[in-house]
Formats: sequence, C-alpha cells, structure tokens
Amino acid sequence: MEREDSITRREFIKAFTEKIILSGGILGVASFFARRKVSSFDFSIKPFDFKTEAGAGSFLIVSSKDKRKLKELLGDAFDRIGGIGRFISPSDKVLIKVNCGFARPAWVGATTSPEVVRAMVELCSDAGAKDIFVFDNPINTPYLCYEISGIKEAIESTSARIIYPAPYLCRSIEVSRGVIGRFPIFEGVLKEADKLVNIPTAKVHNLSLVSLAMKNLYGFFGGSRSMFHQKIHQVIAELAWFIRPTVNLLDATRLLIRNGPTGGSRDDVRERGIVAISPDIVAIDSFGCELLGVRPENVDYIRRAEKSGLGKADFREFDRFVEIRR
Amino acid sequence: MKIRYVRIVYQLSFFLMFLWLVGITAMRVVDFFNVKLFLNSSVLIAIINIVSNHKIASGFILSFVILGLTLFLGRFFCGWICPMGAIMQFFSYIGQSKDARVRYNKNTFEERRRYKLCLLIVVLIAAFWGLVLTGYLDPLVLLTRFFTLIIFPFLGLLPIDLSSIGISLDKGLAFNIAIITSAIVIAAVLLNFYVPRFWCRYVCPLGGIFSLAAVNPLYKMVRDKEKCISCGRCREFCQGGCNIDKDAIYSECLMCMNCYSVCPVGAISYSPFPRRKRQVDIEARRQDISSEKREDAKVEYMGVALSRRDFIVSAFLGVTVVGALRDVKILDRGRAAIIRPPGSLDEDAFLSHCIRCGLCMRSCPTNVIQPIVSSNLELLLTPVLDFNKGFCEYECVNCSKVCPTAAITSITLEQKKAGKGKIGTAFVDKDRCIAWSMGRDCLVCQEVCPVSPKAIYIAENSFAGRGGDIKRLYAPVVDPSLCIGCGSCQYNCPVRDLPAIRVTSIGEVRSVSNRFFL
Repeated sequence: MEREDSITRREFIKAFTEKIILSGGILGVASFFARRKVSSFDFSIKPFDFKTEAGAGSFLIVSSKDKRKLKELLGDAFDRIGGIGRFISPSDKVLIKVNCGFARPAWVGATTSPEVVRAMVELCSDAGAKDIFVFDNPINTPYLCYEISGIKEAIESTSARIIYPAPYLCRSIEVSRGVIGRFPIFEGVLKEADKLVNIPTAKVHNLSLVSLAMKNLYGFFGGSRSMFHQKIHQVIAELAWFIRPTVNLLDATRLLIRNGPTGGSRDDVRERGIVAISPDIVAIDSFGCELLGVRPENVDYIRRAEKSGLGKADFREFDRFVEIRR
Repeated sequence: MKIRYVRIVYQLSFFLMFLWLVGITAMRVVDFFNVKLFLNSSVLIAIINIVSNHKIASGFILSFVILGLTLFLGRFFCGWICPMGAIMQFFSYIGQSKDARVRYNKNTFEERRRYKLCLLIVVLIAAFWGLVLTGYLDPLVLLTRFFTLIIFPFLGLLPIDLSSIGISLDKGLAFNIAIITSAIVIAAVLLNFYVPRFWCRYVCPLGGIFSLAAVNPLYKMVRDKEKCISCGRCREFCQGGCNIDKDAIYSECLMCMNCYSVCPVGAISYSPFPRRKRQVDIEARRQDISSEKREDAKVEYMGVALSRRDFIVSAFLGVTVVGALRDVKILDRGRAAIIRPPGSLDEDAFLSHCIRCGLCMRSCPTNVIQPIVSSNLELLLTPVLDFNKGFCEYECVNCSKVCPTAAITSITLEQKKAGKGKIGTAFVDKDRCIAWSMGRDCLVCQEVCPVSPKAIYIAENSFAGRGGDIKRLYAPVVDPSLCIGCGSCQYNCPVRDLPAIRVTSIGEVRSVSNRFFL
C-alpha cells in the first residue's frame, strides 16, 4: 500500500547524493583550514623567561642585624649593580613569588620574612612598578598562610596585592619533555606579569636536601604535585628551566636548619640576618647550601641545573661579587 | 508608616545579620564577633542541653531572656527575629492565593496546631536518653546548616567576591550528602505554598515553647468588638492563623501585626489586656464561631489544647525514636571510631552535646570537617574529619571557638599544640607506600608533618628489585607519641584513592577507652 508521504526511489537517490556531496564539501573546507592551522603550530616549549641583561654576573650578599634598615640596605645593594631601575622599569607589572607554603608564624622560619617582602615591594614601587602582586600556591590553607606568616599584614599599607590561587588561574600546559610533561601551572599569574622577583627562604628539606630559590618555583604548580617527590631533583631542574626569574633574593635572615621544611620549634631556627641577591638562580642556591651546611656538589638538582646552562654554581668567581655588612 | 513595613525591615535585617554571621564564620574573625548569637537565642537548644547534660553554655542566657520577654510581648521572636520565620513568611507571601476567601479559610485556627507541641514532647523525651533531635527540628540549627552546606558553597561557584564585608566564599567547598541534610528546610519552604507558614504553625518545636509562654501575654493584639465590622480582612492576612476576628488564640499569634495594618476601621490595637480569666469555648472554636454567640461557654483555657492521649502517644514516640535512631549494637559509643574535631568531648558526651548545627563545618578553613555518612542514624549530621578532603590546620582552633554548646570544648592554640589536639594516629600502609614497597623516593608525608620534631621520621629501606638488585632508600615511619592525627600526611599522600598513610581515631586524647598504648 502506498502512503502519501512516501518518496520514490528516484527522489531518495537524488536527495541522498545531494547530502553526500554537501557534507563532503563542508569536510573538505574544514580540513583545508585545519591543515593550515596545524602547519603554523609551533611544537617547541616556550619557557616563561623573565630574565633581563641587568646585573648579569653579579652576586651580592647583604647582612645586617637590624631588620628595619633592610630597605635601605637592599637599595644600596642594588645601586652597586646599577640600581633597581635596571631590573624593574616603570609601568612594569611585577610578580613577587614568596615562600608562603605553610600556615606558620614568621619566627618558625618556614616562610619568607615579611620584612624582606615588604622591603622589596617598596623598592619595586619606588622604581615605578605599575602593579605589584604577591603569589604562592601554599600547601596549607591560602588565606591562613598569608595571615599567620605576617606577609598579609606587612604589605597591607603598600601598593602590592596578594593573588590567592584560584582554579581559573591554573591550566595544564606543557612544562618539559622530561619528567613533568603536561601539568597544571598557575599560568594566569605568570602571563599577567612582566617581571618576576623570586624571594625564597632558606630551609633544609627532607628529600632535596635544601629548599631554596629553585625549589620555591614549586609554588607555581597546581594539581597533585606531591608525586613529583619521586624524582624531585629532575623536576626542580626542569621547572627552573621553564620559569626564569628576573632576580632572586634569598631570605636568609632566618635559617631553618632542622625539621624542614615546616619547622615549628625555636631550636630549629638560626638568626643570620643575611639576604643574597643575584639574577643567577644556581649561584643563589649554591650559596644557600653553604649557609645550611650542605655541600652544593652533593645537591643533585644544582648540578643538573648548571649542566643545562641556567647559571654558575661557583658564586665567588663572579665578576661583581659584593658583600655589604652593617 | 505602617507597622507592617517596620516589621519587614526588622525581619530582613535580622535575616541578613544571620546570613552575615554564618558567612563570616569562615574567616579568622570569630574572636571579634559572636557568630553563635542566633543559636544562643534558641531556648529549645538550651532546654534540650539542660535535659540531656544538666548544664548549658553561658551564652544561652540570651534564650531565656527572649523566653521571659515572650511572657510580656507575645511571640515577637517568631514574627520579628527568627530568620526561618522570615523565609517562611516570604514564601507564604509569594504563594498566597489571589482569592480572599481561600486566604481567609487557610488562616483558620485548627486543633492540629498541637502537633508542634507533640513534637516538642518527642524532642524532650528523646533528650532524656541523650539523643539530640535539634538537627531535624530546631529552625535556627536547620538554617545554619542549610546555609553552611548548600548556600555558601553554591555562592562560592559564582564569580562574586564578598570579602569586603568579611564573607569569604572559598572555591571548591563541598560537603557530603548536603542536599539530604538540608532537605527539611527545602520541604518547609515548599509547604508554605500549601498552607502559609506551615512550618511555624504545625512543626516548629521552638515555636511550641513560645506558644506555651504566650498563652496570655501582657501586650497583645486586641480587637475592639464595638468598632469591628466583621469584614474578616485581619484573618485574611494573618500569618499565625490565630482567629483574631473571633476569640483570638494568642499562643498562635506570631505578632506579624498584619491585622493592625489592614483593619479598615482601626478596631485592632496592640495593648495590655486586663489579665482576667476569659472563658473560651473549645466547642465554639471547633465550629469557628465567636463564643459570644454561645451561652454555655465552659472551658477556661486560651492556648492550644493538648490531650492526655496526645501526651502519651508523643512520649511513647520519643522513646521509640531513641531506639530507632540509635544503633543498639554499639552499646559503647566510644567504639564508633570517629575522628572528631580537636577539643571534642568523649563520644558519649559529644553526641548529647552536639546540636548538629554545622557551624564547625563552616568555620573550618580546609573543608575537612564533613557531615558524617553512617549507617548509625544517631551519628547523622554530626561532624567528622575526612582527611581525603582536607587536613586539620595546625595553627587553627576555629571549630572549638564557634561551637555553641561546647561539644567541641574551647581550646587555645597553645593547648592544642600541648597535646589536647591529638585526634588520632597515623599509620603507614607499607603495602601501598611507594617508598616502602615500590622503591621510589617520596617522603611527602614527612615533609608536610607540622609538629616539631616531626612525628614522621625516616628509616632506611632496602628494596629488592625484580632482578634481585637491592636499592637503598628512605621511607617514612610514624612515631605515635608525637603524631597528633592532623591528617596532613594522608591528605598529601600521592597514592590518592586510598592513601598509603591513614589516620584513625585510636589514641585520641578525648577518649579514655580508645587507647592502644599503656
């Protein structure tokens, strides 16, 4: 029985062919554009390189017992290598990476001293930085970390602001072709910045022996970074290749010599009042090792980083090696 | 200005104050603001705590002040202050019928209002056995938990920032079975479309206590019979359903003062009525007519009548509910092996103190305090520490500061670090540990351990590889005398599904029986 809404065989074949040709055309055009996109794609990994020519080959050690004079001291130190203006140009957006991984009071020595952060923020702001933001992705609860460590209070009256780790800032990107591979990185923060100032604190660490400038870059990792402990030296070296700070300030005003990296007792801390400044991250770490009583040659990640050309471990050989004591 | 708008302003501001106080609980401002203010104003919580524990936190004096004022002013708490009442009134207003006759009929007094008194008896009888039912029936507890478990986590998903007014909306906050533990509030809201203020009229045991206190308050809505033209507008807009246009039943009057605002002839006033005994005819009330029309008015009672049968049935129900909710197999409730927040009372005392308000969950910065998921229904809604969701922050005693009934006793940071904070002990699962049985470096647990000296120390492990070669590496060992059970190790363990280091409640300082060392 013939239904009224049925079509003839001829009509069916006609319509069918028409659709085949149409969809083929669409696919063809799409693949043409897709191919063009692919051919212009760059497969090489672009590191976040904030390094400038400023201060190359210089290493400064500042030591003082008086924390109130830190800003002048740091200012003086930067003047020896051409002034802070060579690192931070006006209208720069400066990202300050502190170590604020644990909700611990400053005297424990597990976090960067608020005084050093404040002094550096003021120097940057004097140099005319447009926007200064402090960042870390802590292990403990973020707002408690900033509040208890005193960093929040220290920068409250300055122009700097704190960026709390939020999921929208974090994205999985390719960090290296080695151990890390694709991993969540707080890319949103790094992309926003023009300059990166790395202010770690000097601590001992159970596995990497020391936790210094390169280990501090761990704070840009999101996700479940705890599994990186399995190959921690390689991971630190790869990360230091991927994120290259403009300048590093090692806060050794307090040294955490035991129970690192969390501390918790006054016996674990030594007051030294030292700040080391250098654009060379490897030199900073090898200096930190000596402060903590670890031979830099024994620290695997420093050797790996030096081998990949990130810097020189022997800081005493630097052209401009300056010590300022007050 | 009409008194009705004044009331709405009051309700709105008290509601926002409640919302704000629950909201700021997450910040470290609990030292400056009394975030338990609203819970402290619930006399139901106070009475239940007195019945089950024979003592009460000092903050609950406020609730007795409110109860005392009710004797003079009527149920002003229900109509003017209670945030639950404000929500119910709002939805009743939205859901009200357009037909004046339907509105009038729905606001008629019924004897079924006594059900809230029956529930009050159930709650009180259960409290004698130490079973606290406020988690299901106290409006302020329900609302606190509702906002904690549902509203604030939801607001956290939206791109809004309320940190300028002190409310931190943490991203990714999530709670177990939140919708189930908040279902009663949602049901109460929906029932307003069936009968206005259904919850307040039929269910709320706190309202039941106030209704007993407000049987004949000093100040009340008084209808001038001479002026009244019997238009019925007062009952049409009545929120409590107290039959103001006949013989008003003041125990049901919610002091909404709508009658005062809508009366076209000004027959209704808020004034002290001579405290003489009035004769109210129950029969007349049942037939919904004024007792003036009946000659044989006998009964001298002006509240909701609760019969002897009602009392016996609800008392029986109260006993039954204890048997139904309590897992009778666990005679020693301490064996439930639950990790409670630091400073908690021993399990038996904890369960009879905890009102299941969820304020500790709101105050926790790491989201580790969760409503419990358990087959033992008595434990339902109580806080438990789930170390797969968070860890107990070492420098924090928020939960002990906010607990309104001291189920989590108030401890200082120093006390917490000096040993009162021991809530359990960590155990390394060597079979799952990648340092012990897979020959890879890890030691994350040792790194994040917050105590000094660290409760996790490292020991050398010789790992035999597949080919028989021996690899020497370091692996974690727990020192139970130093471990405080904070769960940092479990939370950060890279073996994420079933962590290779786990905390259980054994060795917790709150219990005398849950120990394993001599």
